[in-house]
Amino acid sequence: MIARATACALLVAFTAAGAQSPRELSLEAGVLRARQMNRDAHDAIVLGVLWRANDVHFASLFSANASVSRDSVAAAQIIGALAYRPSLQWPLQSEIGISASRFGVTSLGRGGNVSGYLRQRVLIADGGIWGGGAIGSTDRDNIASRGSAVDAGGWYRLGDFTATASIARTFTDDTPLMEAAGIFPLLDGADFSVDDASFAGHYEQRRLSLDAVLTLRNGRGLTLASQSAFFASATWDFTPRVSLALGGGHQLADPVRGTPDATVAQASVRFALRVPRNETEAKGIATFARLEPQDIGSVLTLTVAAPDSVAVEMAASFSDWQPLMLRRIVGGWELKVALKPGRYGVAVRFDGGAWQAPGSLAKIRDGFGGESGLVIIP
Amino acid sequence: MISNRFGSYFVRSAVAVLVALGARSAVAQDARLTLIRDDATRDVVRQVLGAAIARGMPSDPLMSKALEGVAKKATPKRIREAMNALEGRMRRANELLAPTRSVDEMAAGADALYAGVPEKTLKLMRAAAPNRPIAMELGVLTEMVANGVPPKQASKMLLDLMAHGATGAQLTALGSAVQGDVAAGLKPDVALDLRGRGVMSLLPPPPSVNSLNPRGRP
Repeated sequence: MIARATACALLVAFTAAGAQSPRELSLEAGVLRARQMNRDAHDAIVLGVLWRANDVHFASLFSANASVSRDSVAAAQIIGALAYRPSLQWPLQSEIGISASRFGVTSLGRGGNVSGYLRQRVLIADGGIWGGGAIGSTDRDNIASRGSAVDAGGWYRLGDFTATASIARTFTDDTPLMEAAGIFPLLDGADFSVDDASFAGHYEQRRLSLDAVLTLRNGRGLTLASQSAFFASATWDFTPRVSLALGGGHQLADPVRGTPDATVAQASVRFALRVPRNETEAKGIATFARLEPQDIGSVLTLTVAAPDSVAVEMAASFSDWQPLMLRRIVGGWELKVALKPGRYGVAVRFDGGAWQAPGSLAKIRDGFGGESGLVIIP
Repeated sequence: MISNRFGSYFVRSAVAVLVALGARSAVAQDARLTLIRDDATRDVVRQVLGAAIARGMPSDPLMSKALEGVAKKATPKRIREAMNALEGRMRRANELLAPTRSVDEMAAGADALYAGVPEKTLKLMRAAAPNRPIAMELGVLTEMVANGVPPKQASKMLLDLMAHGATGAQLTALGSAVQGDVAAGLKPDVALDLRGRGVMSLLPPPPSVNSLNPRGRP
């Protein structure tokens, strides 16, 4: 479950890197009921912390989770991941992530796992495609096993809805994990190989966000497997700080990260230690200003990273406060304008709302109860 | 005597009428008025601009302020108040920055005063650079104060840097660096202190230091 939740968080963090809240720190506490195949259900308390930060180049994420149960079903996992993109105009985004976990699942033994992944995304106007791979090593009761996977997929955003489809091929020699999941080799001792096809949907509007993922798994070669799993979750924000997350469904064994096949139901409360400072940040909008000196004056580049559903307008003193045409770029909007030396006021607005100072500029009072951004051209 | 008085009164009246007509003409010629669609707002802007020009004030910053108000859907009353307030600040900045008269300086000084820069700072900045424009320096100072640097600290740093001969490019780079640091979470006063020292280390000592040691050799 933890791995699933983290994978979802990574997906959300990186498919929209640069269009999420610039910084986020939250705590999570909840209860979890998990039942592995042919085993009794176990209840556990789940505690977690999530930190996420984005800027125009990097999106980073760190999460730590622990599930504690009185009958020793327990796991602890930390994850760190980083995505890099040279600029908002650049259509490629590279990701790298590592995770480490310790677990004490009675049915599968005690041990730990270390895994890592690499992924290359190609961003297209309203979506993108990716390809990547992952490897992991699991130690269970002092018996080591390995897992590896290659995957490819794509996503498409339509308003508040994002659809994702992916395929993955996984190889592993983790016999206890796979046999506990009901996957067997035709020959004893043979390695396992399975193909997964996943279809996921993410919907987000105001306080509500919904996620669902359907995974179909089939064995390859000497591996006998034909499984499907469906997992859904919902999050409701009571306040900017407090939200409730509910989720349930089935997750398939993940030999790369060493997580078992299980049916899971969970409920948790998330408390954000850092909340968005304003509506702009809450909408996941960030602005960046850059000056490129010329012989006389400078070229000002203003970039607004915003979700596709947000309409962006800009006006400035150098345009006599008439709205300026912005160029649509992947993940946002951009304006480039050559300016003579001087001082200029700039304002942006989103979805026809109030004009406001771009976040990355010094804010000066405008005399009308609001603010404008100040640009100084040497 | 009566004839002289009458002549003087006549001349002054004629000048006033000509200035008023000139101001009205200057306002009427500003094509940007056509950007204001609302008749009531346009009349207010025309009226305030005309009066300001007649008092010898530059129209450009005032017209820009009016257009900003129109874009931000301010009421005619609010636009009038904002323009009048800006004119008042420009007038004060002009006094503080005398003897130089430059529209850019006046507007930059007005912005600085509105941001909370002490009036004394403007006088000191003029004294530090009596023969060159300081609109850029005033803009950087406004930017720093707007970023949360205490006005006194920002003023002192800027005056020090000017005394050491910092260029406009160095000052704007300093302003941008402070802004970046503040955005990254550093306290504004700490950011200015660190960045300011960095710029200072690149500059030669001010001439006044050498003059304290007349026998010193270069």
